Amino acid sequence: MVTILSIKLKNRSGLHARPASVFVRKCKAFKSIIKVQKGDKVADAKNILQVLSLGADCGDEILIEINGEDEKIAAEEIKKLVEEELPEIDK
Amino acid sequence: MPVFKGIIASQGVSIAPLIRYIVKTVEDLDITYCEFSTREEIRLDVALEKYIELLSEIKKKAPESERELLEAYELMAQSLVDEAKDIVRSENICSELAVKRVYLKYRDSFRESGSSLIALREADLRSIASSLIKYLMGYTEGGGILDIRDKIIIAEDVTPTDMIKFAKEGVKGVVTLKGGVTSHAAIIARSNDIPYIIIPEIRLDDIKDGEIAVLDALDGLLVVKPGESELEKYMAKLTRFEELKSIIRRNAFIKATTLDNYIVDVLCNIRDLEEARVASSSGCDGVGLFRIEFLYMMKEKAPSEDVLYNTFIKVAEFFRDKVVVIRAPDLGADKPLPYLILKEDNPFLGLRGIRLLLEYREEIFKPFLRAFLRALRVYENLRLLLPMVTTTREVRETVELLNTLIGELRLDNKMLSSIKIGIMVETPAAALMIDKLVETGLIKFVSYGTNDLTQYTLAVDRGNVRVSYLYDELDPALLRLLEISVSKALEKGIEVEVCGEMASKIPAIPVLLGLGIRGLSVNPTQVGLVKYVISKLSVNSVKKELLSRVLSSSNNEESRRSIREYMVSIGLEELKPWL
Repeated sequence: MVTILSIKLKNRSGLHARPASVFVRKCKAFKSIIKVQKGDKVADAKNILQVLSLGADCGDEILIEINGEDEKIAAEEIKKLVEEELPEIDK
Repeated sequence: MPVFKGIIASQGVSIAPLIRYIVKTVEDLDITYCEFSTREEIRLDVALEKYIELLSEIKKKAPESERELLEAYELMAQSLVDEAKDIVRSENICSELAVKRVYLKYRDSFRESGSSLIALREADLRSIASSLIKYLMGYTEGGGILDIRDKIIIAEDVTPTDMIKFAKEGVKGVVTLKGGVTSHAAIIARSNDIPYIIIPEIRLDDIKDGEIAVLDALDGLLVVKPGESELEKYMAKLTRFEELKSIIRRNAFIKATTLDNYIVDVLCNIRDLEEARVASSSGCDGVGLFRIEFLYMMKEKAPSEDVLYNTFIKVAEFFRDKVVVIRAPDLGADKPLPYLILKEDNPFLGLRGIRLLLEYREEIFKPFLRAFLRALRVYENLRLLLPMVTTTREVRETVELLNTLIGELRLDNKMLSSIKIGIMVETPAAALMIDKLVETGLIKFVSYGTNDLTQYTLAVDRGNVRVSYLYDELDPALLRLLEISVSKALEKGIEVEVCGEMASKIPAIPVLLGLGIRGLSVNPTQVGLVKYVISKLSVNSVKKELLSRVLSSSNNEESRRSIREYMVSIGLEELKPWL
């Protein structure tokens, strides 16, 4: 099975260094293979250089594809992180 | 006494000798071949370990807000080393080249990503890769040959690690050619009170080590080899700034109110998304002028409707419930475009601003207006400002065009009357005809662009050193023109703002308030100071005791003297260095 999340980035600075670092660390905590897609670019969610290369900015739609034994819990936590915790960092 | 103008990244004033800071980066590594050994992966691990050690050393001294960034650096270094190992294994090349290759790969993909903030990360990546290479080649961080204590550093660019080192070693100020106000080096400079400005035009070759300079990171100036009187002036400014610093900081987040309870909006001028992001947390009441020319210049073609739309909604989102004034691009004159060659003998009096937009409406104006309308449908805080208006026909044609586009986009046709359209007054013609321009209907506000208005009124090109001494926003000619114009605009019951540099100049503030201006759009770093000055003034007192004196002065020296005397008479000696 594969779980796919479609999320709009709401935090002011998108996935740049600071939020990207929080995001990558979260993804690294799971065993699943996790990919992030923005437009036609795909990145390994556990590699910060690739995540930064997406240039995912505030207001952009991203797709997150999670594949592995812990994908359900991973999907839940990543969704919460991007939608709730990252916008908190702005403040 | 050369004077350079730059962008303020960290406020302050300092007077000290200059020293050039030249560092080798990964880009300077010019080997194309090197011996591969079986120990490459171990070498990479050791370099990474040393780098992480350096980061934890820095973390101890870095402000709280920077810790997460340093963690991001650690992740970046790890990913970089992981990929370098793959290359070492598959291609049998040495670690230095592998690191450089990974660096180049991501540098290019960061550039292509098109986000201004990600582009800054290119500098971070360069700094990480450079450190790794230094460790691989057996050098230690920094080198430490330069004596930088009590000096003003001038460099191509500096990394956050450099900046932390500067703070530790007691550097007095920093000037760079590259960089941005949201760079981490800038944040570190701010939290360590190191004055820092970015001057793209300066050349390192023009600077000699040891030359005395004034770094005025309050007005964004570097004065090299100042004369005695200049030096004295800046000494005083330095002392005052130290005294006022904390008051200015506190004031940035308070609504500006005069002693007699007039509320003044202090807005920000911004020129790209990066500045917008900084400005959104600077305490300003919104954006009074969003210059979008950066989207048009240095590009192969004009930006698409979608690029414009995305930019507008981003800025609108940063400010949410606060006003954001987007100025239609003011192209032409001193802003040449590769895709639009205008051969004119006198470009400042030629096809520029609204004239150019209406002439090239298909290519430039329509995509802009369509993007604006689409963004306005989502964010009601957006406003539209028209540059270089001189005739009522230009306003009418723009409104007609908006009406057509509303139809094309199938938007509600009641939308037209809800658009907040403003006129930028930059010419004496617009200043004098403001009532008639407003009568065209739909004009909700006026913004005085005092830089061009001063140039056109006084017939002075401020960039021309032979006549720039004649350029002064406090020349009574300009003040008289403003008086006539602002009172006409206020009679029509519309909002009146000033968005030129005049709005951030301390001596101009009492005069502008006295004339009836209630909106000042300033550089983000000036918000606290401008609000503080407003809080010390009384509009009624200015009207009674200053305005007529200034308006009846015979020249700018006289008007400035009157202002200075007035400010001192109401107890504002502390602001003398700015007067």
